[in-house]
Amino acid sequence: MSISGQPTIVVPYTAGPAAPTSTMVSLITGTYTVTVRAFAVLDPQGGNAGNFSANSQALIVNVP
Amino acid sequence: MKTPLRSIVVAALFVAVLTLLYQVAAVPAASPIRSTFAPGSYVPGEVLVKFKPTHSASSRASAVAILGHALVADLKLPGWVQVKIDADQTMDQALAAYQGNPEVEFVQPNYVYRAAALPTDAQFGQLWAFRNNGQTITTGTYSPNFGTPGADINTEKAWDHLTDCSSVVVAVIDSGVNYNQQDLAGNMWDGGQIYPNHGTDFVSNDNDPMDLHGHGTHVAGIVGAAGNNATGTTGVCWRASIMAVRVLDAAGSGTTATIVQGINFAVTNGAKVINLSVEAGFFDPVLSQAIATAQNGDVVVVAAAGNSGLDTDAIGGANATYPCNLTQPNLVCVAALDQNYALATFSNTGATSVDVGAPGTNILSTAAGTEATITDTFHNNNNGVLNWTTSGGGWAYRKLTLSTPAGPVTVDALVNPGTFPTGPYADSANNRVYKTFDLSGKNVATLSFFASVDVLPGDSLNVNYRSGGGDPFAGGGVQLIGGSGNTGLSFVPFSFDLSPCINASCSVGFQLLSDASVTDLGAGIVFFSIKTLQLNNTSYMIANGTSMATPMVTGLAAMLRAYNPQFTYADTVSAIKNAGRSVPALAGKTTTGRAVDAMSSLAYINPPAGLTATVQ
Repeated sequence: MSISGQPTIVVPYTAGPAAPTSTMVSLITGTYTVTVRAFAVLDPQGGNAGNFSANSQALIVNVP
Repeated sequence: MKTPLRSIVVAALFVAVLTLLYQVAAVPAASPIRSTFAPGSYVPGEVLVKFKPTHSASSRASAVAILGHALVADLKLPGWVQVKIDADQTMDQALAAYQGNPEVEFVQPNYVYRAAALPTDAQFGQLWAFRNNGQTITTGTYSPNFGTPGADINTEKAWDHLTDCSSVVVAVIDSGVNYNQQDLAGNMWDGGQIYPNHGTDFVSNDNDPMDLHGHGTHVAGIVGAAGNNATGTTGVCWRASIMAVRVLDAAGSGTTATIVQGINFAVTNGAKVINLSVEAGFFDPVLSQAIATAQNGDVVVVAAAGNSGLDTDAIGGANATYPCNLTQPNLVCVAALDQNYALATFSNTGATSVDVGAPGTNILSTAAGTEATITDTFHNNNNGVLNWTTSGGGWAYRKLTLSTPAGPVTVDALVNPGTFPTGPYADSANNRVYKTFDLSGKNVATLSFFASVDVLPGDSLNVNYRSGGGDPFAGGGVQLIGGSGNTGLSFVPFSFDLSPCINASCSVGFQLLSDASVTDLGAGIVFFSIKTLQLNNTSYMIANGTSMATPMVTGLAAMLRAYNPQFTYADTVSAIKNAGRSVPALAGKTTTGRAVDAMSSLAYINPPAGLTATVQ
């Protein structure tokens, strides 16, 4: 998960009854752009070096 | 004054495709990887270290711990240990840390080895679609028959991960399947006691979908001929569950009714992928509804773009081809590429209606049996004399020059009158012409020809056959078609199942009957042939067409759904379309500009959706 101005956060995927995947982040007042991308074990070359999805649609969050 | 800290909870309502992520939950996010090694060639986050023999086990552990690393295993080789490196460290940094240690003799990545997942099938070397090394397909019928290395669907790497698609039922809605073929028999759908022949038949309305044409068996082999069995060919899937649904007759023709029944049967009986290598040039609301029904049943439908070499998006819709010009989201339409990933000359395209490309020329696959074609030019050795038996005159042999898109072509023709196409044919005529053919030992025979007809109402052109030979318009003859009509000087294709006439003497003939009133131009027959099929379980053949490209994608869809059982049709279609490789020949001619890539689709992952945030 990427929040503008913040380090990238790795959020383990949550399946089943506990879904959806979520996390909590503390932020100072401001407006942030949040995007999420997913990680797969495979890569397009046939290896297991991993593969990221494209970013999700951006979410604009205002922290008052 | 301090700025207050607030918390936001970000929840991503991941769509089903993201369950891929679940498989990697235990794997840390990928560390930055340097280009020293090809991605995937080693285990991320691990190195193998060889300490000097004088180093004790405890001192090895200390040396590793000082670097912030952890021992994973002693490799039971003198001095060698497996080490987990710091999560923030690149591979090069980790290697450098040990290379600077005088107690270390050697350090290397923990390389990944893979099973050499190349099947043992005897004719695998001819399957350029799966492994294009530039080979020449010596028996290929499409030119060029040599290729460009790497122009293939990248199945080799995908096979390292999955070869067994049998958990996904694939319906081949076609001319049936020779379910006894040696490379297909073990990969057919189990229809239980109700469908013991692995499918059903909407042509003959029974439960025996035996292929009496050959098209469906070829398609089925591309999807799922048994792989790695040292026999014949392999499909995209080495193991499969192929449901045979016969909707095309021995001449390769079907109807809305048979095809729609086939789709509904497939959906009702558990198919998750449908191969529809058929085309027609008109909007068919019933077919559209059937594909929508498949969508509601979460079924992917893969269809052929068509073989007319047209832009099916042409203004006005004159070239629209169905089902590809339908818009259901579960439909994937496939164009054909040659061995160099150029567009096959026959392939239809459409920037809004054709989605992806796949290999479709010189494709070797399973055959229903041995095919042969009897052609007839109506004369012997260019002597210009009709060599068919005539009765009542009227018929003659002549050469005609036809106008074709490729330019004028001179062909041998059977005509009535001899001056055709200038006419007129005779009044009060009963002109018969026929010839006897030996069809013994065949299981299927199909009569084909092109005809230009201009026969007035009240007169008729008749086509008959007679088992046992002789005049087919005498007693015992059977009419295939008859009547008046006008094809507007165009030659129109005709095709008929001639199987009831299979024996050592089968006569086929044409008759022009006219009344006493005025007449018109008459009739011309060209490209006369009888295609025969002798069923067996050991044959293979090469074919060209978008029909052959389509099952490449169907097999991939099955592979994706087998690898990701939670995939919906939307996930599957997305992975097929979005993960292909860009091919210049498809740019602007398909919705994606891409050719399918099995490994990339297997690794593809949709972006998360449904992102929400709550400020507390």
